[in-house]
Amino acid sequence: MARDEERRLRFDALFRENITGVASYCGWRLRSSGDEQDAVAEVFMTAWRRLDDVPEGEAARPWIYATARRVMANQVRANARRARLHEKLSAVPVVESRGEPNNGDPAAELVYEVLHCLKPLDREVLLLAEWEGLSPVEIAVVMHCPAVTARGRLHRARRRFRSAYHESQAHTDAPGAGHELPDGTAHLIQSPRQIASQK
Amino acid sequence: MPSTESLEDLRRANPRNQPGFTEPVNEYESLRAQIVATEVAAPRRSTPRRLPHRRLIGVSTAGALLVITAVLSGVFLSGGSTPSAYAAAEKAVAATFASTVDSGTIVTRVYGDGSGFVSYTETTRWNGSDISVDGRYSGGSLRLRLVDGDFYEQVPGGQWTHYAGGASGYPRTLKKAFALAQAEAAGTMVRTYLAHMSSGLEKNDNADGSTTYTGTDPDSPRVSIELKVSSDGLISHWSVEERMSNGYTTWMATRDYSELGSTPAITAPDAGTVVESKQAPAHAPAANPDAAAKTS
Repeated sequence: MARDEERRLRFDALFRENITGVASYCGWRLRSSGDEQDAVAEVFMTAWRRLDDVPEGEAARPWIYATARRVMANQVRANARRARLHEKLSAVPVVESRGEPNNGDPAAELVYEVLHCLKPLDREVLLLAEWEGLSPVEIAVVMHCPAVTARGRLHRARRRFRSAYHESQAHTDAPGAGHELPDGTAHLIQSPRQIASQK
Repeated sequence: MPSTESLEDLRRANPRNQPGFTEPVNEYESLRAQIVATEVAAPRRSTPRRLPHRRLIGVSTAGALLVITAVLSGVFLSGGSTPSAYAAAEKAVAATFASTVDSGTIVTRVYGDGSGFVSYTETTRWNGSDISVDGRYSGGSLRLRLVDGDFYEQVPGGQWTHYAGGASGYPRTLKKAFALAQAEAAGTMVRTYLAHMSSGLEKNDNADGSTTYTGTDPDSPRVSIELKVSSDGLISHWSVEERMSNGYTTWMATRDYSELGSTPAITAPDAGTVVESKQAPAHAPAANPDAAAKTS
């Protein structure tokens, strides 16, 4: 088989195995769908150009995610230089590029609210594990850190998420939730952001 | 609440489980063909270059011809000339796409497995630079027309809004349809899929003189194609079926290509149904990508 054809077949397999994951990752990390499309295209263009550098087998997936992370970091930096987009873009990942996810599902809305209140690094590690299904070892490749560090970050991120989620839910379920608070008592209700920042 | 329940809620909130997630992912189907075709046409080893994946059809006939030439020499000449079903299918593809196919019809269907994904059907027709998109989704329908550079969008009630020329503000769905039509017009889509079927492609002769080729990708059994070649040696219809899974649910996407070279001209809506004219489309993806995404 000609080398060009071998390259093409390998790339197609790589694309098929990773397009859903990369689109998902770029989707929740970037705010605009246009940026998401650009990032996905850039990731796979990089993979195509550097196909010989892409590890074989299961190691390919964290390589692709690490590439996506670099591409998005570059994109965020480039975008941040554009004054007219300054307000719209930020250096932190967001989780809202696909419109209104989980519309009408209170549990999902609470999840998103709590996610927004986590520190960016905690959120990214947590979602790489829970949404993208990456193992701590794979997350370490993506984040360029030792595996033990990734494992510790993931453990802490899960603990912070659980804690903030439960406390937010307790407030939501409390009698009188959703009604106006009596004057002078509003400070008793903490926002998820406040809860998360205390952990 | 058990400590695992919050994480279960987190997993359920995964955007991959949301209706509509498959649509943007399916959109990238043409990206794969574009990347490979771009590289074959002009190999690049130096500076990274962003793909022109948002460009519209109609301005790249020369490029498409270059791609066809390059792909023909790169894929088909290297693919061997054994008298197999694969070689015969290749020959039909080469004959059909010897020049850019100036019209065609593409029907995309997505079926969920009942666990949350929403099915939809979208029909794209192109003839030259004119194009129409008719989509039926769970949340409603979408009808778009682009005729002689003028863009029309159907509004609730069956009437149409007309936007005078200018490609900068076309909605994302229309751009996606263009990319798809462009890839099909040059034959890159069928070539990409066929390249994976070099072994195991089956040939069946039909009573009407046509021939049907069917095959499943040996490396990815979730992907299968079917080509129907008329007695004149040209492809009259082909389809691809892909089963996908994100670990939580599965769905199937099919894309049906027909009326290649024989799709009727795209016409503007009847003047009596056009209720409003504007200079610039309300959708402005270049300036407001989020607003554009909501239109598609």
